[in-house]
Amino acid sequence: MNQSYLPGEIAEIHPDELTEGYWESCARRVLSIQQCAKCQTFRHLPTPTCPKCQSFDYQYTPVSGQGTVYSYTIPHHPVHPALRERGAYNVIVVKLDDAPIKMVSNLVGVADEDIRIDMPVEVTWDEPRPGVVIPRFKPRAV
Amino acid sequence: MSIKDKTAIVGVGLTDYYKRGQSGAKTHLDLCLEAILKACDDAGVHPHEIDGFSSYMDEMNASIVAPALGCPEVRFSNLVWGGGGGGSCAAVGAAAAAIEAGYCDTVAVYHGIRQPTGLRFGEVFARPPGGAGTVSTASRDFIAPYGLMAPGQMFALMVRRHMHQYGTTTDHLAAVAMTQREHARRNPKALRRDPMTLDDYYNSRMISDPFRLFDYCNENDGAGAVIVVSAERAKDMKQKPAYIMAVAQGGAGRWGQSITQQTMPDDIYPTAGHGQLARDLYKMAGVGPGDIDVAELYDHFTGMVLLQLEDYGFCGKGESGPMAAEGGLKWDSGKIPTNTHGGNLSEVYLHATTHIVEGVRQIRGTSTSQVKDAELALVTGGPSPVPSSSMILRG
Repeated sequence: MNQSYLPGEIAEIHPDELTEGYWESCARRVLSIQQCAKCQTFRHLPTPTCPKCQSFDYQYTPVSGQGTVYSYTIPHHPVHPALRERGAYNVIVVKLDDAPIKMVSNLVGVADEDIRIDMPVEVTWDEPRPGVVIPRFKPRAV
Repeated sequence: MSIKDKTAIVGVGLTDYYKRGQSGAKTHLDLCLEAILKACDDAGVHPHEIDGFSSYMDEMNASIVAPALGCPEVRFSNLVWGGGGGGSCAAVGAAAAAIEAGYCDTVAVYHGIRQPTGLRFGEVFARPPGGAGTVSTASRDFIAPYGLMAPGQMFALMVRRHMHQYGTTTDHLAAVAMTQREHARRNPKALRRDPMTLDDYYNSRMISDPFRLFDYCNENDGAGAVIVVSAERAKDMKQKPAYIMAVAQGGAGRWGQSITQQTMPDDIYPTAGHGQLARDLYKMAGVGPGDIDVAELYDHFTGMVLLQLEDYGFCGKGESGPMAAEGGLKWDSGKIPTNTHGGNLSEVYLHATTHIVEGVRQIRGTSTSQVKDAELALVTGGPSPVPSSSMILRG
């Protein structure tokens, strides 16, 4: 039984030279964010060069996976055929605590109507299709 | 050196408006050619005089359009990057700059949409990557598994944040939708002309909370075009010139593809990303928001009209919702009459071509919701991945 938050049909991933480090870390269930090897600036979406110092050298650095909800929407209309049977779901923007970046995800373990901006959240791992492990988030007690 | 007041829009052309997929035998090329020919007719210019072509996010490039029109020479061509209708005014600005630089004399700026052969914009990230306006496969991996696949969902996130920071409400969004519907009801060509009450708004189905159906633009096929020539030449032509007073294009560098990935810095997250455009536009024009008589603001979604009102200084940060609810956008009595044609929400969605044309109509004095003595019209392209753009037309 597939207990993934959203169907696996939409969770095909296509790692390339730039993003494979991110996905390799996800496969180990560790959230890592791209970080400049020279000036240590974090960045997301992955880019070849550091937006601060323009260095091409980077690594994917593990972070705590803790953050807060920066914004959210509740899509009701399924824009992909695989979502037609799913019903409404949430999409959140998470602002991470220990890397000043925003990323898109879903919030699980809470009713959509109870989602609030600034809610503390932490990463939780989901395998929506075999071999694809992606970070979603769940409420975090503080 | 500046392009200020050096050129003018002297002709406008729009095809009929079609619901998505209902343009029948008319292809994308047919629609573009029809719009250009109508603009030529409006301007009193023979199509063979066109020696420059400028567009945005449209695969109908000059090598296809020019031979079809029989133009003897192509002396300038330009395509603006960016998403959706962002580059509309930038395409006009490129035409103005090319004429002022001496590359060419008569530029057709055009854009067409025929979604069945291209893509349905509302599902742009649900499709396999590679088409116009789509992101790369690897970057799509960061959003698609989470069900973030549609522009409306992305802008809903930004507007939700605006609501949180400033107290903007869905009543405020409704005010935008209802005001523009009233404008559309005065425009015989508008596709949505039924009255819209607050109940109608709230009864429209939820698409991506907080956006309901009536927060969304139409989905249409069609094309629009304008003819740009030098100001000197424009004086003696068929129509009253709409002088191109100022154009700005671009946006915050860190905006980039942020709308897709939602990675904008905090200071520009709950905005339309037009702050720098507004600064540069007013600087070139030598005017401020208080001088603008009418605003044709790209409205893919109600909330983005509000955020543009703030970016262009018609009100303070967070004040756009109350301004709309108090009637501030109405054509006859508002502080800044906005989207007097009904906009993408209620007239038709042709990626900002209609906003340019409506700006010209206001300058000519021929809008169906004519602002009295309109002298300066602000026109914007879509808040979208950079570059976006805007311009001021002068009578």
